[in-house]
Amino acid sequence: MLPLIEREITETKKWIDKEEFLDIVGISQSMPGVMILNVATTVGYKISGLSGAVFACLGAILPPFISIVLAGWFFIKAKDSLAVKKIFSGVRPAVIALIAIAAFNLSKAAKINKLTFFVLSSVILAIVLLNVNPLYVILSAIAINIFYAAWAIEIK
Amino acid sequence: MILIHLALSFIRVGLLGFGGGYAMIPLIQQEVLKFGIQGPEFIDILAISQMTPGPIGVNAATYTGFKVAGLPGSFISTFSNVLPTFIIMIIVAKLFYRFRKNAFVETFFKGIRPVFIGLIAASACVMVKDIKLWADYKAILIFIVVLIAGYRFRVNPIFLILLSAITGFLIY
Repeated sequence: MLPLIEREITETKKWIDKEEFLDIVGISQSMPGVMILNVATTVGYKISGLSGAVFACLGAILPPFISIVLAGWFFIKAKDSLAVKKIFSGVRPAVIALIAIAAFNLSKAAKINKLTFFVLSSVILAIVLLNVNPLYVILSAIAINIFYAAWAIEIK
Repeated sequence: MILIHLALSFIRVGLLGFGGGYAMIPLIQQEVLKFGIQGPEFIDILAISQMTPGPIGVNAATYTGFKVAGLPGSFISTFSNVLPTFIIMIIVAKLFYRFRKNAFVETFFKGIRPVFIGLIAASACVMVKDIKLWADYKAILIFIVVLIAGYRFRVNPIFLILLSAITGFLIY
């Protein structure tokens, strides 16, 4: 999806240049939320302020919103039919595999070392074996990394 | 009342889901328990979110809202899911040039990344437990084929979902 957006914004419409677009993508990736929406919001804001941001974001949300509501309406109606039950029995393991793939791809991109592998596996164990709420894992990770980042900059 | 609960849940998800749609999955998995959605039902939400265009995290929010409270629910959930980042991104866009090469921000996100990878992997493990994947050899087969096709051969996820839907229809 990203190359499509890049072409539309930097070549077809010439709203901003390529370099600035890449910067926006870089920042959008490290913010909470979905990258594509963050890109849309920032580009919209750069072009025409707050209203630009609102409309760019709405434009990016609306098509998936409509299709999910239609699909949802259909599947809720049909959920007791035998065909839909069979279909979902086949789809469930595929969905789990796709999530596992996402985790693999992310860890490849993040260049896992010994320390990050330890962090990663402790998180898995805490959630799967100890049933820890992911919310607490994230909040403590945020707290620890704020201190760590402050300390790392201090000694530089 | 249920709409307020949906709003609070998805504001939390939107605010803490660093690193894209997949990072929201473990958070949503936890939040939907409050609405009585668990196990296979949650996996079905993800299946539909994966099949429809758009980011999986936002789609899952929209569909959860729809399941719990109809059209108003889907509207509130989507809006709440997007709102926190929207506000953050406006602030970032304002400060953009100061923000661009900030060592603090960079170190912070580098540190937080493995935690989210662990969370995503853990959510997959929880789902394996939820549907007792090991007890069904057909499901194991689909799981392995999709894993290899998607990871090693980079086959499109939507295509894989459709294929496993057809397979499910034929073999179950």
